[in-house]
Amino acid sequence: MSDRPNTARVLALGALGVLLLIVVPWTLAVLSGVRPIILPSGWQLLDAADFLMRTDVLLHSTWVSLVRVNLGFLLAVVTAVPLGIVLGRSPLLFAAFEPVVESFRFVIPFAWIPLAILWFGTSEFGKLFIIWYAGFFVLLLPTIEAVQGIDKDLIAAARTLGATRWTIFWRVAFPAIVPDLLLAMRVAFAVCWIAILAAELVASRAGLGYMITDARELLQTEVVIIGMVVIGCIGAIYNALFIRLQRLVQY
Amino acid sequence: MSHMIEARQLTKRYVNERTGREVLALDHVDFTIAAGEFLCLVGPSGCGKSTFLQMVAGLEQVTEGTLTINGKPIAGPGADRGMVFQSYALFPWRNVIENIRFGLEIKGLSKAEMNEIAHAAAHQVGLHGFEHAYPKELSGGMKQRVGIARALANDPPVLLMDEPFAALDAQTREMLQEELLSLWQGANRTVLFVTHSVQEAVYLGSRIAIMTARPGRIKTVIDVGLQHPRDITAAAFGELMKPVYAALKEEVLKAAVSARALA
Ligand SMILES: Nc1ncnc2c1ncn2[C@@H]1O[C@H](COP(=O)(O)OP(=O)(O)OP(=O)(O)O)[C@@H](O)[C@H]1O
Ligand SMILES: [Mg+2]
Repeated sequence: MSDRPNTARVLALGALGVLLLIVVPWTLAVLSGVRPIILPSGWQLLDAADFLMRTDVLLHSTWVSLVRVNLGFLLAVVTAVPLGIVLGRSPLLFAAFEPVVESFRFVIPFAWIPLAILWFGTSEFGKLFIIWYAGFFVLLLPTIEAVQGIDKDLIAAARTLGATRWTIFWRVAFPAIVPDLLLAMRVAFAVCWIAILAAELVASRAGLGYMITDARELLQTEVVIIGMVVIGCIGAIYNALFIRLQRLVQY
Repeated sequence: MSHMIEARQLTKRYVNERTGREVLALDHVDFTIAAGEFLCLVGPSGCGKSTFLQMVAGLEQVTEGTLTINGKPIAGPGADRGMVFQSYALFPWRNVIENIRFGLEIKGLSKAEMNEIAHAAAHQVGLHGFEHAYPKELSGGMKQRVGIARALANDPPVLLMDEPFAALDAQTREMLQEELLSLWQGANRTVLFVTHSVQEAVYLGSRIAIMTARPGRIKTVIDVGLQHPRDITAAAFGELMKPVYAALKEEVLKAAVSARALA
């Protein structure tokens, strides 16, 4: 195991990275006289943020998007994980599902927008469908692999110690795949969150994705950038939460 | 004398679920293991030693013939037969005591009873002071001690061991062989022990069964008339190794020839 680096140093390095990679080049660009519509200055950005906060647009958009992504992600988990467990256990079912699974996972969520609109219209289901779809395959394959990869001797040991199927599932198979599941969930959540933009292109009236699309049409570059920053920050927070969870089950 | 484990015309065929291909692993095996004996099973790789052990454990179904324990057909795994694995097969999310306790939890003992038995078993195999360590923190030898203690906690009359010491270094292996012998001598336990090492078989076994190349049958059974503790440097020990070694070598060569014929 590598030594855990100390927190203060990690934070300082992170801040330095933000400064060198974003703030400095940005400031130079603004100082060199780029038009605000191409790249607004920091002050203009703060102004716009202040406006978005006062009118409640930013919080509302964020809330709407968070509810959507959490629901869609949850749907993906409760469908993909049980199916993955079943497919991981049965070579025959897996052989039947494999072609479908292996081809669908290359069709990105954006490609589903037209069908989602045709099928679900302007209802919330269309957006949830896109997010669910984004997370589903990212969860399914790792779940199957995790189940297939369970050490057969662990199951055999449990059986020789008198365990029933039920006990084996909850006390052996499940704990054995939890670390892999959490990793898959972390990746899947990221993919769902990235797909929020696609989802909110489906006849949407609210959400961060909608806010960005709308602002682009009105040439409000500041709002577009603020939306991007919020999406990035929320993604990073969720990622950190999942990493915490993963640490709890590092056997 | 009652026969602890008895195989009559025991045949095992594996069928690959996906391809439908069949493998004949054991072919009409007739064999009896007496209560209280330490039986070592040797044979070329792939001859069906693990298969036989797993059928006795109840982990694999009998294809044809009968396999009984105390006259009753083996239908599935049971707490009367403990198993020890070459890979240790410890639950990595459980510490030493929690691993040893697994079988007792299934029996539904009270927490106090479980802990008493588990600690006693840990002590018995020299795990004192490591009760709360996790498997990844243990050496191979310590891991296998946990594996043995976990099997013993259920107090099974039959102990099945599939190359339990094969992954250990020579010194650790000798120590564990020693400890296993004293565990066996102390209780009236039947041990079925698979190994690739002729020396290990002659050192531990009351009898040594040598299997043929696949499909596996029992080729010969050799009685080891030596008293414990045995001296591996003694002339009598070397004399006993010779026939075992010769029989094994013959079968290993056959296995190699048929493998080449397939290739
Ligand atoms: N689950 C299974 N499905 C199909 N074939 C199997 C299965 N398990 C074992 N076999 C085959 O049965 C034969 C006997 O295998 P087994 O593992 O019992 O041999 P072994 O004597 O223990 O070998 P080794 O010394 O290498 O451990 C081999 O040809 C093996 O490929
Ligand atoms: Mg084997």
